[in-house]
Amino acid sequence: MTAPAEIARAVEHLGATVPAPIEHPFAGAAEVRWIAPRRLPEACRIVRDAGYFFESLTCVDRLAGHGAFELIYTFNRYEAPASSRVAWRVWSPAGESVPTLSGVFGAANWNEREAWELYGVTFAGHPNLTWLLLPEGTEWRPLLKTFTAPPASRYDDSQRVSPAHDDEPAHP
Amino acid sequence: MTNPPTPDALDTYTLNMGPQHPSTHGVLRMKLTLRGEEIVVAEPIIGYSHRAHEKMAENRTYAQFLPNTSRQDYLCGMIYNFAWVEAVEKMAGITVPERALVARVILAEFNRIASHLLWIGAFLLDLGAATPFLYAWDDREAILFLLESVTGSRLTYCTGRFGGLSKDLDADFPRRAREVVAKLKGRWNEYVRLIEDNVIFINRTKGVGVMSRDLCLSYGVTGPTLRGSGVPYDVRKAEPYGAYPRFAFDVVTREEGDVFARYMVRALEMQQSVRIIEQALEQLPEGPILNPDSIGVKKRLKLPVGTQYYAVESARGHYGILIVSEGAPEPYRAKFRTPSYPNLAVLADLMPGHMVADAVAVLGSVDLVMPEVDR
Amino acid sequence: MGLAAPSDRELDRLAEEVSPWVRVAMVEDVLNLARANSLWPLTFGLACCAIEMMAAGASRYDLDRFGVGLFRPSPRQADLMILAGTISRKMAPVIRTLWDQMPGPKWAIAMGGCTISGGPFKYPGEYAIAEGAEKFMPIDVHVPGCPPRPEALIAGILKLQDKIKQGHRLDRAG
Repeated sequence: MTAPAEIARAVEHLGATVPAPIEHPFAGAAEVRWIAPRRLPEACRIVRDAGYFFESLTCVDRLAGHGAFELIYTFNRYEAPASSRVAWRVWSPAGESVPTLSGVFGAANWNEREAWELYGVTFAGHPNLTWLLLPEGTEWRPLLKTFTAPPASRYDDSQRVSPAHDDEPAHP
Repeated sequence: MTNPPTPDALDTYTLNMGPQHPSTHGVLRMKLTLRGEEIVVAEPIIGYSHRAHEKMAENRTYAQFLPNTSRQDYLCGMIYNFAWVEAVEKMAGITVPERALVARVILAEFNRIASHLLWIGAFLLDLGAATPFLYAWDDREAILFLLESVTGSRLTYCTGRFGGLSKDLDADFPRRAREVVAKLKGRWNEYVRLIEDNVIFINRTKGVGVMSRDLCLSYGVTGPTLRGSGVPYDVRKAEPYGAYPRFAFDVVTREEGDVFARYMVRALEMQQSVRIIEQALEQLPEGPILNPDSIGVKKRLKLPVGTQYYAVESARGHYGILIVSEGAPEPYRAKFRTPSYPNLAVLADLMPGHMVADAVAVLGSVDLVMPEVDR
Repeated sequence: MGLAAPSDRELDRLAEEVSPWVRVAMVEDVLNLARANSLWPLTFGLACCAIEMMAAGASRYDLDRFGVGLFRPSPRQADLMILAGTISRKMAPVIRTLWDQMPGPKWAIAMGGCTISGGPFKYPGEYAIAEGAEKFMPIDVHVPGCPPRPEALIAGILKLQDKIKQGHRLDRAG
C-alpha cells in the first residue's frame, strides 16, 4: 500500500474523518479527506510520523453560502514516488476556532497567523497569533469576500494630498 | 516552533536588521537579540512587501492575472508565469503543442540560470566580495538579452498563454541560445577559481548555518536550501510536468548542510540547467507555438468547479498554486505556496547560536525573495 | 569698510579679463556641479525595480561612470534616494523615516510605475500599497516602466543631474 493510502487508512481508523459538507472535487492530491477540526492535530501527527512535511494551508471564505471557512492543509514528502500529496480539508463554521498545529509542524506557525489576520479564523493554542503580513493593529480582515475596500487613507487617491513637505511627520 | 526564551534584559541587546539593509533580498526585517556577538533570538518580521496578489486574483480573470504572476518572484518570473498558465491549462484540460512545451523548458531553465547567477553575485556582495557581482551579472545580461529577444521583457515576463506561448521562437533562436550556453560553459571554471577556491569565502561559509534534515522537514523547506542538506527533492522529478520527463538531468545535492553546500548546489544546478537546455534545443520540434483552439486572453476563460493544487520547481524550491474555482471567469480563491515562505521561517530556529557576523551569510544562503514571502 | 557683492555685469567683465587662464563662477554653481556628478544613492530596493537598479549599477550599464556608483547603506551618508519597487502601507512610514534621516541636500527618484502611482497593484479598493511615493514624500524625477530598463533609470538620473546643476534641491528651496 502506498504511503498516502496508509495515512488515509490510519486516519479513518482513528475516526477523525467526517463526511464531506460540500460537493467540491479536489485534484492534485493522492488522498483527500475531510477531517473533524478537533481531531486535526492527531490526523496531522499521523502525517508527520509518516515522514511528510507541511506544504500549505489555504483558507477559503465560504461564509456567503455556508457560514463557514474551508481550510485546506496539504502535506507532501521528500521521497519518491511522485504525487504523494495528502490533503486534509477542514470545515470550520464561523466563530469556531481550529486547534493549532504549531506543536506538530514548525511551518504551521506562520501559516495560521496569516489565516487569522487575513480571514479572522482563530487557532486555539497558537503561541503567537498576531499580525504577520499586515501592519500591526490592522482591524480589517482583507481576504474576506465582504471586504471590498479599506477605510480611506492618505495612501489612496481618496484625498488629494499635495506631495508631503519636509515638515510633515511620518504617519501610517 | 516553541516560544523563544525571554532573554535577560540587561545581558542582551536588540539589533534591528532591516527593513532597509544592504543585503539585497527586498525588505526583510530581522529582529536580532544579541548577547555580545551571539544571536539569542532571531525573529523575522515580514509584510513590508505585501501587495495583495491573492486578493487581486479573486478580482481578476485568469488572463488578467498573468502580469501579477511574474511579479511574485521576479527573479524567476518566467517560471512563475508558466506555473500559473500550466495550472489553469491542467484544470481546464487545454492541450499545449509540443513546440511550446519544449520552448517553455528552454526559457524556464535560462531563467533559472539567470536567477542563480544573480544570487551568486548578490550573495558574494553580501559577504563583501565585489568582483563576482560584476562577472555574474554580466553573464546574466547575456541571458536577459536572449530572453528579451524572444519575449520582449528582461525581468517580468508575461509570455505564457493558455495553450502555449504568445510569441514563437524565431529561426535564429537556437543559434543565439547555443552562443549563450557556450559563454556560460566557459565561465564555470572562472567561478571556481574566483569563488570556491577563495580562502575567505571558504572560512565564512564552511560549517556555518548547518541545517539538519529534520529541521527542514519540520518547516517544509524545499529547493537548493534543502538539497544542500542531502535531500534530493526536486519537483521536476517528484511531480514531473511539461516536457521535463524527456530530458536527462541530475538532482544536485550536498551532504554538509552548511552555507558552502547551498552555494555548491546552486552552482552545479546551473550546469544541470545547461544540460537540459542543450537537450531541449536538440529536440525542439517544429509546429505551432499556441494551441490553434486557444481562446487567447481577451475572451474569458471559465474553469470547471473544483479545487486543484499544482506545483513546479522554481529557482528557490517548491512553488505551488492552489486554485478554487466556482465556474466563474475569476478564481474563487487562488493560494500561492511560495518556497521562500517556509525557507525564511526556518531561520528563526536556525540563526540562534550563530555569531551576528554569520547572520548575513546564513540569510543570504537561503536565497530569499521577500515579495514572494509576502505576496 | 564693507565689501559690496559685485554685480553680474562686473563679474562678467572680470571673467573676460582673466580668461583663458582663470575661470570665475559662483561657488554655488560649482557645488551644484560637484553634487550632480557625485550622487551617492541609498541602497534601497523594495521589489522588482530594485533588480533593474542593481543591473544599472552592474558592469553592463555601469552607473559609476555617471558618478552615481557608490551606493551607501546608511541614509546618513547618502544624498539620493532611488525608490525602486512597490511601497506597501507597512513600509511607507519606514521610507519616510529614512528620507528624514538623510541630510540635505538630498534628492529622490521614483523608479517604476509602483512608486509613481501604485503601478499594477493599484485597483479600486486596494488595501496593501501606497499609490505612489508622492503620497508621503517629495519626488524629483519619475522614471516610468514596469520595471524600467537600466537605460531608463540612467536617463532619469541624467535628468536629475540637469536639475541639480540648475540649483534644485528638495530639502529647501533653491
